[in-house]
Amino acid sequence: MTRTIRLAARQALLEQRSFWRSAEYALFTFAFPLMILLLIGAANAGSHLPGTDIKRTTVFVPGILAFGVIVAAYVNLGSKVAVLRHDGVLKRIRTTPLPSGAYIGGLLVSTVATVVFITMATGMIGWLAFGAAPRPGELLALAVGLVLGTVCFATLGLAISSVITSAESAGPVAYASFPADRDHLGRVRSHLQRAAGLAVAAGGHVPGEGARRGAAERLRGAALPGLEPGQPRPVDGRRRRFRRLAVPLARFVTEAAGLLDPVRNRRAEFHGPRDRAQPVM
Amino acid sequence: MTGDAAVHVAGLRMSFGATEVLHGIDFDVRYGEVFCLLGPNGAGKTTTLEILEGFTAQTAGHVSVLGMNPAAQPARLRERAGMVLQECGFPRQARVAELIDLWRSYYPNPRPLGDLLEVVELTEVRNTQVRKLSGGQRRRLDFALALAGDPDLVFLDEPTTGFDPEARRRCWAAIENLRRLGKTVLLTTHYLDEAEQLADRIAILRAGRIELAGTTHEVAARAGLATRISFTTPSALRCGQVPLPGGIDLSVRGPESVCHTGNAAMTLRMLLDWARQNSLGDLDGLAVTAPRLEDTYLQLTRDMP
Repeated sequence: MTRTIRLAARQALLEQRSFWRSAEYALFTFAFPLMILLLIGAANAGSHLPGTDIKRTTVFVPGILAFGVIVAAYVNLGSKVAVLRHDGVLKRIRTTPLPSGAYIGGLLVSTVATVVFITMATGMIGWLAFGAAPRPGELLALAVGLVLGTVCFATLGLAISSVITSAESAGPVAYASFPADRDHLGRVRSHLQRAAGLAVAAGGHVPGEGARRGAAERLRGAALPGLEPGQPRPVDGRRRRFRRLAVPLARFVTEAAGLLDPVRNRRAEFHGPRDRAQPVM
Repeated sequence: MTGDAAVHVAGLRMSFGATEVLHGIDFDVRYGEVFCLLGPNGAGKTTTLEILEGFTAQTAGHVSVLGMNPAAQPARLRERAGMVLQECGFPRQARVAELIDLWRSYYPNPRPLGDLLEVVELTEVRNTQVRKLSGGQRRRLDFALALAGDPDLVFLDEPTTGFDPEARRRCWAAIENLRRLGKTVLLTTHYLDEAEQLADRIAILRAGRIELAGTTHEVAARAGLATRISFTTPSALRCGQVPLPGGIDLSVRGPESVCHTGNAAMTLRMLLDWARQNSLGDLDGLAVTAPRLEDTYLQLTRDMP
């Protein structure tokens, strides 16, 4: 177990180094969401969502956070694995005794690291440029939502990689598969929105969702559960809030475990069959 | 039987659906030797190798690699066997030394990084990203990764296909280095000169069957090929002033006289006696050429349906 963790850490380190050495890859994963944030955020600064007192940037900043998670964890990981398969890198890995868990773990840890960087940069710009900062009491929920959202979309990314047959189609298929996964994402999203305000905003970026209005309502619903817009925020005990977080979390983990099925099916690709118990000699 | 053999294959059969591609092949690879599976494209070389590497389970027959069943113990096998596959990609943004070092971490007893770089002559490009390496350098990096765990056995699947002559020579040098390190090497190729240059023993695989196996000379002998003896035709012989030697099928082809024999030593003695008796001296340009693998291979190919 220790060896697997150590190998996963080394793999993640190599993945991160490779990521930052590939200028265009890093640019479109890391800088693109930030550029969108600055451009569209600047265009909408000071305006409010229709019929509410919520600033557009209050919704838009966490929306971009979620967008960064989806791009890094779903689109990029999905297309990356497809390209690795096409280029024969996965086959090369199969020639070694590296446990498949270590390799997949390394990819996931690297993805989480990328998401953390994106989130920090987006959050910092959102705060400095548009004054959109999470409530201090919701930081834990934000962090949990980020981690779970990353795991969830990374799992979906690994799953979608199995239907991508060539390196050329990897990017387009990963992007185009957003609508195809809408129902599934919707269910995941419904858990996420109870778990953390951040992941709720992801709904606004799934095509065909009536975006902003729904996202704004869900964001409010997550931040101020059970309240209509404009109602004062109630004083809530920590234990009660934790319970409210724990139930959807448990449901989300169950959901994520279901999502791991396609990943388990991909194990044979990352690694050949494990040794059988008895040697045949 | 398998005690001296790093690889033991007996009655190996492999079918894909209704098509049988290996029809019961047998061969052994001894510890410390370079063994070559030679054959045209589609002969079954890569299929055989994939079974030995544990990627595919055979349909029938017995296979043992380093005393293990590769299909049953792939993870254990990969700790002791290095593999250079026919086509395999790299993490392109990784640097050479960084990648080799990562590979070393996969194994319980890795070779030192410096040694690996030296064996494959990549020390000078150790900090270069893989995407910037030439084709030959990438193939040598393949070797370094295969050797990272200090394996007892190395599989090389058509290691020089598509290389220019210079890259091929450097690749051959790397394989010679493996031999010097005492590694057992199982090599597949369809290049005759490569097999002749590198292999201690060869097996010619054709249409899923081993046609011949042994050293180059043994294979040639089994194929019934003769040694070629030639010399510059003496003027007296060309003018018909001396008789042809008795008991030798000598053909005079203008400036060169040639005969083929299954017993080179005896024929040579008879020729020299004939030359002395007829005052022809030491026979200028006398050359004895053992049958080449290419001759054997072409004869086999010609004889096959």
